[in-house]
Formats: sequence, structure tokens, C-alpha cells
Amino acid sequence: MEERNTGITIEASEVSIRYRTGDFKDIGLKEWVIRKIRKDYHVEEFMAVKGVTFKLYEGDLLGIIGTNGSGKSTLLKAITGIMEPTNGYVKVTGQIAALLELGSGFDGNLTVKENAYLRGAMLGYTKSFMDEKYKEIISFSELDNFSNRPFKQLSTGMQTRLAFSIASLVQPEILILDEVLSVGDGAFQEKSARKMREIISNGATTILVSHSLEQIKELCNKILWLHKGEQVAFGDNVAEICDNYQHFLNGDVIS
Amino acid sequence: MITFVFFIIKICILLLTALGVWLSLKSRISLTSLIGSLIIVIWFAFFGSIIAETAISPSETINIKALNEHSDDSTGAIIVLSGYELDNKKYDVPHDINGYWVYFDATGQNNFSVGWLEGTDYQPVDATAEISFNMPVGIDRKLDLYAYPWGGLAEVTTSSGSTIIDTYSAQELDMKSIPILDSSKVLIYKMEIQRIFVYCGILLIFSASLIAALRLIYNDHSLIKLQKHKFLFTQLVKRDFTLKYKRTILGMLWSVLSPLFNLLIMWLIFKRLLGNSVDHFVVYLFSGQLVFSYFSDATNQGMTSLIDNASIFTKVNVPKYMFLFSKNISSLINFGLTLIIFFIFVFLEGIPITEYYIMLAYPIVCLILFNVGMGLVLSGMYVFFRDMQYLWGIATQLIMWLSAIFYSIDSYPQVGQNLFLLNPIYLFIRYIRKIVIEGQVPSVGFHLIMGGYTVLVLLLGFRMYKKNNHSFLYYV
Ligand SMILES: Nc1ncnc2c1ncn2[C@@H]1O[C@H](COP(=O)(O)OP(=O)(O)O)[C@@H](O)[C@H]1O
Ligand SMILES: [Mg+2]
Repeated sequence: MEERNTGITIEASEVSIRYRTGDFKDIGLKEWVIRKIRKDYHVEEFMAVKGVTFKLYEGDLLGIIGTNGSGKSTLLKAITGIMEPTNGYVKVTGQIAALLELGSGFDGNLTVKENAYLRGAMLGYTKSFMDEKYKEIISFSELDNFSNRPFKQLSTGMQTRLAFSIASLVQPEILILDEVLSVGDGAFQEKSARKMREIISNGATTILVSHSLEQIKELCNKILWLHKGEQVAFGDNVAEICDNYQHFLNGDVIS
Repeated sequence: MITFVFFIIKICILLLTALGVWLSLKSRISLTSLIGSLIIVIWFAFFGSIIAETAISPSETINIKALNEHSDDSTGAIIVLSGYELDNKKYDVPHDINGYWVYFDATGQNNFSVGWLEGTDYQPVDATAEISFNMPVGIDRKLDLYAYPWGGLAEVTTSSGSTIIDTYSAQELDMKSIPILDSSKVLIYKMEIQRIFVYCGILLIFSASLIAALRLIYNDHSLIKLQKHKFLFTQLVKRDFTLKYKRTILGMLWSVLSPLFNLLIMWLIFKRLLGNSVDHFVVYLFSGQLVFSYFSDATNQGMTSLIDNASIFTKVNVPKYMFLFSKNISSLINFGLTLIIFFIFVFLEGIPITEYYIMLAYPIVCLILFNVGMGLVLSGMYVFFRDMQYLWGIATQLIMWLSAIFYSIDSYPQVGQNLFLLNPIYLFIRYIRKIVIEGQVPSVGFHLIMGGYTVLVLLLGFRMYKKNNHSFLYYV
């Protein structure tokens, strides 16, 4: 791999992220005071990501793999600034359009159009941009007749299609997709893969979390494997790491 | 002429301050921010001058000496001073006059006035009597005097000399407004210069804090961030509106009508109890209801705003206070509509609208900011403690009972009345009542206490959000 100093868009250095758990959730003020007095108030810490380091350049497409609960989404939260790394740092240069866990953040009682605008606004688009692109979004997600229907009437697949269309529509400098492409039917998956390639070819940096190794092999030029928060592997030898991961999933020992 | 010169001086100070604000912001100036700061400065200049007006009212001693003379037609010399006028505004006589002046029931309606009586007997005709009292320095002043029963001659001495006035009236208890000499020029100059000092001080303090705040915001890039999220904000407002009113006109109408119904019920209950002892009772009640229902609505609605949007802020990086702001907008609109109805009530009650009404902007702006601050604190706490909703429900009830909405605290001992100053909601209500019903501007201290509460709560709220920006997520 050729080392460049310029064009770094995302740099993660020794990133560790902690969750706080314990019995503080869902207790009331009264309960909290009582427990504080009794010294019976416990906060536990849980490291969801431990010492992850990588660098991405313009045009890179990073695939993140790992079993459920390995910390993929948590890492993305640190990159988008929703969480703060407990140790280490993340440096991001550029505008992020992030889609973490599709379908969430939509409101079932609003119409498809209202939801599309709200989502667009969350991704930092302007009103005129949305006005201009709304038709395109709706037709890309194949929801032309659903514009004024309540959002709750859509199937999960339709919801995902809409979400992907909105996020990929702009030319974002950084696009982050968390288990987005694995939903939706085959035809749409293909269509969205094409769209992704188009975005990457324009120089965007993309991070893709997917359980489909096929998709990762096909699209990504870099790969990061997380296991229980630890970084097992990072590199541009995508095929090799994918194979190792496949072996690991099959219960083989990692070489 | 004199007032004109001082007016020009005030305008110059104003422009200089505006120029100062402009220059200090110049590095990042945009037209909108310039207009914004100008509007704020102009408004506060007005505010400053009114405060200066109320803060500084130097007085001089006015001496009235009844002469042992009367005009030809009259045989008595009993005069009752009921008050004085300054720039066509009426004032009662100071309540602390002693000497020959006693309470006198001039019209038989228990009006407080001070009379020319000694003991319970009328002063004999040949007696000379003399009193002194303090009256604000000024020009165009008048004494309001009743002649009882026919009046007589009196010598009035001010800082600039003395004149003889005749209070004779053919009719018994005919009130006369008799002009007296203007204050001496020296006194007037002194007063104006004092006022300009106070006015400058207020402007300086204000501009300095404005500049500091704007600087802070600019350096913090929050303002830019707000600009960036303008579209999101409007979308959130739209969403909250659609969800709240379920796309029905009735839904919206109801939220305006419900405070009015509350008002009606309160009025029916308390009319008999208080209706006679409180002036303009409907307006009195309404001003309390107006402030309280906005406060209650904004805080109770705002409390859940952060939790309700957990699915958004755990997935997208947006400023979290946007959710509260957008929730507050619908409460604010309700408040605005109720305020319009309030002014209709004021108008129907026949209360004169004075230029002091513009001062209502101060408590209203403070109230809006106070509610934002409370909303920030509560919505943050609600993330941590889910029983806050229930606790705050009780607290709101308590605040309602402690805000003198439907009762008057005038007859309470001074200590008790002062305790009410601890309640910010009472302050907002009191301010509005003072301006609307009593036609007076509250004291400078009152402004400071109110501003202090507002800033304190706002700071608490923003601190809470800043400190927990990344830890709210653990609790949802
Ligand atoms: N809000 C939370 N509080 C506590 N623990 C959490 C929270 N969210 C996720 N975790 C834990 O962090 C770990 C990593 O989660 P996540 O990043 O969602 O994994 P992945 O996306 O790879 O499936 C999991 O063990 C999960 O239980
Ligand atoms: Mg995940």
C-alpha cells in the first residue's frame, strides 16, 4: 500500500469506547437518592471497543465485519461524533452522511414525504436541495405511489430503500452505512451497490458494515475485523481477511 | 430646548454604542447579525432610558403657605392637596407628610388626600399654615388642589422662586390643577446628567455582555451550527406540530381555548372572593394564568423532548437542544395567541395603553428564555430519572398555588411579600400586572432579580447539556 500523508479523511488511533451499565437505568430520583445514601449505587463499565487503529483516505471503502455485539456500530458512533472515545482519538475531515441502523429515527405517524424531509434534514441537507431531489429519492426507492401514506404502512424493506436513497443521494464526502445494504430484495441490493460504486468513484470515503462477505469482497478495498471489541485484522488484503473470518465463523482456529 | 439637547446626547450615545458593537464584531460581520445587534441595542437603549427615568427621580422641596387672605367672593381658606401632575401624569401626594396635613376625605369616597386641617377642626380663617413636601424635579408641574369649601390664597415656593396661587372656586370641592414654577435650571441639568450616567452605565454593561456573548458564540461555532441545522429545526417543528395537533384545526383551537376555560373557571370561583378588592380582576387573573399556563405547558411538554427523540440522537449527530427548542415553539405560539387575547381583555376593561407597555418585552423575553432553561434542565434530568415527570407534575401544582395567580398578597406582612420574590413565576406575573394594571415600571432591582433567575436557569440548562452531551446515550 502506498503511504500518503494528504487525503486522510478518517483516522482512528487506539480508539477504546466504554459503555456505562449497571443498575442506574430506569431508576427514579427517589430510588437514586436512597441508593446513594445506602452506598448501594453501582455503575459498571463495559468496553465495547478496545484499541482500534486505522486510517482511511479519499476514495477508500472500508468494510467492517464481526459477529453481533463485536462493537461495529459503537465504533461508527465514535466516528460520527455521537459518542466520544474513552481513550484514543478519531479525526474526521469532511462532511459525514451516516446511516446507523436503518429504519430508526423515522416516525410512523408522519407521511413518507414528511419522513423523507426530516431524514434529509438530519443528514444536513438544505430545504432547496430536498425540494429538488425529492422526486429522484422517491423514484430511486420505488415508492412513487406512497408519498402521502403514513410511514408505518411501509414494509421494512421499503423503509430501508427509502433510507438508503436519501443518504446516498448527495455526494457526501463520507458515507457510513451500518447494515443497510443487507436489507432489501436482490434487485434493490444490486441497484444500491451500483449507486455506492458511483459515490466512491467520485472520491467519497465510505464505511460499510455488512454481514454479507460477498458484498464486502466485491465492494471494499479495505477491511476491518472486530471481535469482542478487539481489532483482529485491518488491511487491504480483503479476500484473505474475509476467508479467515469465514473460517472463524465455521469454527476453525484462526491461522 | 433643554430636553431636546439631552435627547440629542442620548441619541449620540446610542449610535456610539451601536458603532462599538459593530466594530467589535467586525471580523465576522454579516448583515443579519448587524441588524440583530442594532435592534437589541436600540431596544435596550429605550429600556435603559426608562430604567434611568425610574431609577433617578431627584426631588426638591415644595413649600405651600396658606395666606390669611382670600379673594373677594370666598370666606374660607381650607385647601386640600390631592396630588400633583408632572408631564400630564398624575401622582398622589407622598404618604409621609406630617404637620398640618392630615387625611382628609375630600370626595366622600375615602380617597387619600391631605388636608388643611388641624386636629379635627378646620383651621380658623386668620391662621397661617405652612407645609413642605418633596416633589420630583421637573418642568410643567401642577398641583391638584381642592378648595374647601371656597378656597383661598397660598404662596407656593419652589427651587426657582415663589408665586401666589388662588384656589378659589365657586363650587364646593371643585378640583383645580394649578401650575407652579418649574424647577431651577441647575436642578434640571443635574437631574439630566445623572440620568445620562445611569443610561450610559446600563448601555455599557449591556453592550459589553452582548459582545462577550456573541464573541463566545462565534468562537464556539454554535451560531454557525445553528444556521447549519436550520432546516432540521424547521422540520422538527413541523413534525411536533403535526403530531401534537393531529392535523386538525380543533386540536390547535383547543390548546388556545384551554387556558381561557381555566380563566373562566377561576373567574367564576374567585370573583366573589376578590372581585371587589382587586382592580380589574379579570385582567389580574388573566395575567397570572397567561404566564403560568405558558410555563406549565413549555416545561411539561419540553421535559420529554430528549427521550422522545432518543432514536434520533443515538443514531445521528445533531445538537440535542434542538429537540427542546422545537417542542418549545408550539408552546410559544400558544402563548403568543393567548397574549393577543389578553390584550383584547385589557382593551375591553378600558385600561389605558401607555408607552410603558413596550417594557413588557422584558418579562416576556425573560420568560421565554427561562422556560427554555427550565426545559433544558428538566429534559436532561428526565433522561436520568424517569420519575421526574411525576415529580414535576406535583411541583407545577405547587408553583401554581405559590404564584399569587388568584389571590393578592398586598395585605401580607412585608417578610411574606418578600418571600414571593423567590418565585420567578411570581416575578413575571407581578411585572405584567405592574405595567398593565398599575401603569408603572418596576424598580431596577426587580429587573435584576428577574434577569438573574433567567440567566441562572439558562446557564444551568446549557451546562447540563454540554456536560452530558455524550452520556445521555447511556441512559436511554
Ligand atoms: N446503550 C448501550 N449500553 C450498554 N451496552 C451497549 C449499548 N449499546 C451496545 N452495547 C453493547 O456494546 C457491545 C457492542 O455493541 P454494537 O456496537 O452494537 O455491536 P455490533 O454493531 O457489532 O453488533 C455489545 O456487547 C452491546 O451489548
Ligand atoms: Mg450493529
